Amino acid sequence: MALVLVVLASVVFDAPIAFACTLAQRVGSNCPEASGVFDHGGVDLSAGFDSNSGGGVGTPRGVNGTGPGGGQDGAQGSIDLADPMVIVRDGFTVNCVPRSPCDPSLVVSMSDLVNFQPVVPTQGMEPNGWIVVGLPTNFFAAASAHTRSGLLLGFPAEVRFTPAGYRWNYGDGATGGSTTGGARWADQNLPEFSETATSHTYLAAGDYVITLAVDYAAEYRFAGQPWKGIGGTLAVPANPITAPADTARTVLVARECTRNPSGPGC
Amino acid sequence: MLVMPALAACATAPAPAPSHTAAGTDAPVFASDEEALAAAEKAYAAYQAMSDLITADGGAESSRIAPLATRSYLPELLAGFEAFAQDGRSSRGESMYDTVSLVRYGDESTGKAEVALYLCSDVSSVRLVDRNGTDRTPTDRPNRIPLQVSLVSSSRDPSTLLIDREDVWSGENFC
Repeated sequence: MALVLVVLASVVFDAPIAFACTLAQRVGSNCPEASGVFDHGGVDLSAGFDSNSGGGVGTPRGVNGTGPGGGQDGAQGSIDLADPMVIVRDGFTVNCVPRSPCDPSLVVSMSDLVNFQPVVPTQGMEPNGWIVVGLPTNFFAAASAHTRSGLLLGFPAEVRFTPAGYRWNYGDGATGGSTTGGARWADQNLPEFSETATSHTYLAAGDYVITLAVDYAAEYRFAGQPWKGIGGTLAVPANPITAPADTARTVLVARECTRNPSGPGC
Repeated sequence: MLVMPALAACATAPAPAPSHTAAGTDAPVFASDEEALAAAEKAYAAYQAMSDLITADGGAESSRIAPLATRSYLPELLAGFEAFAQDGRSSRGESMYDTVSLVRYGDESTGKAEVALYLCSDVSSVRLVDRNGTDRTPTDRPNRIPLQVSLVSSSRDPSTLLIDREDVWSGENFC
């Protein structure tokens, strides 16, 4: 993937640089690099350069294209790529450890998110737990955007997961994809056994195992910094459902089956 | 659609509840975030008390800290005590902490919990004295330090946590 260089117009990062310090070092005032950090709570550095690959800065893959964090990435207007490899600083020296949050060329990928476990999505179906052959079965998923805190590349950070896609495997060889998780018939104001964006019609009787994977888009931010997108998506499997499919027949029964469940035909 | 009332009437309880993949043996080390936080605080308090004991002795017998820290963090701790000992001072008073919050709790694998805390380490009541008993506490010592502390399960007892890292949080000072 091509390296995309974006010149940011004097965006000030409040870049926390974590460093280890034991209690004995704190007591003895021997912490490495500790001087001057605590007074103003943060190392301000001004960077005139940013680079990203993959997801792209300022375009988190949120739903509806209005992803959270949009517009927080600072002014990206004045593109001056006369010599894009020169890092423009605003007149003072910056000590920045490579691969730390202040590193303007830091690229975070999905594989760096090992410390961040997105919520496991769940799925449901209508009818609940059974299938009528030849009629649509409605599937729906529960997954929502959420934020996790933890260490990213060794630095405290937040990661926001946003469901971007839903992929069903209906267990009969058919698969389905949707950008929405679907919803119950009642919530869509549809009569039962209606077709929906996430429904599937089984053609043969049998027991089916229905699996769902939710593709989460992810963004991250270090404290004080804007959200940045991460390229790609993270597939998280939901609970599988096992459901029997049977043929429905119309039968005449003597009384309502709810009142006489053991009656003939019920 | 005539079929529907008949189906609905007969459908008392087909009962194929969604089956979950999680097995019962994968019980988390801590039943709740609160339990994890309590265990982490307990571990940090023990570590703090032992560190104070060692610095009160001028940094001597620093290996006493070993049972409270991970093998990977131990060299850093011992180096810290060694530097302390070289200054020829000893500590008087107790370190404290406050403003504790849980950053995250998760099991890295079965029986291996990972807990991260934010806390404010407060060494303001710890004085450093030289051999003559003269107060040699650096006047510019930062006394309240925002920390992120990482802890992991001890291999002997998963619910006993060991200090794995202490990172000074140099972002916005929450202390």
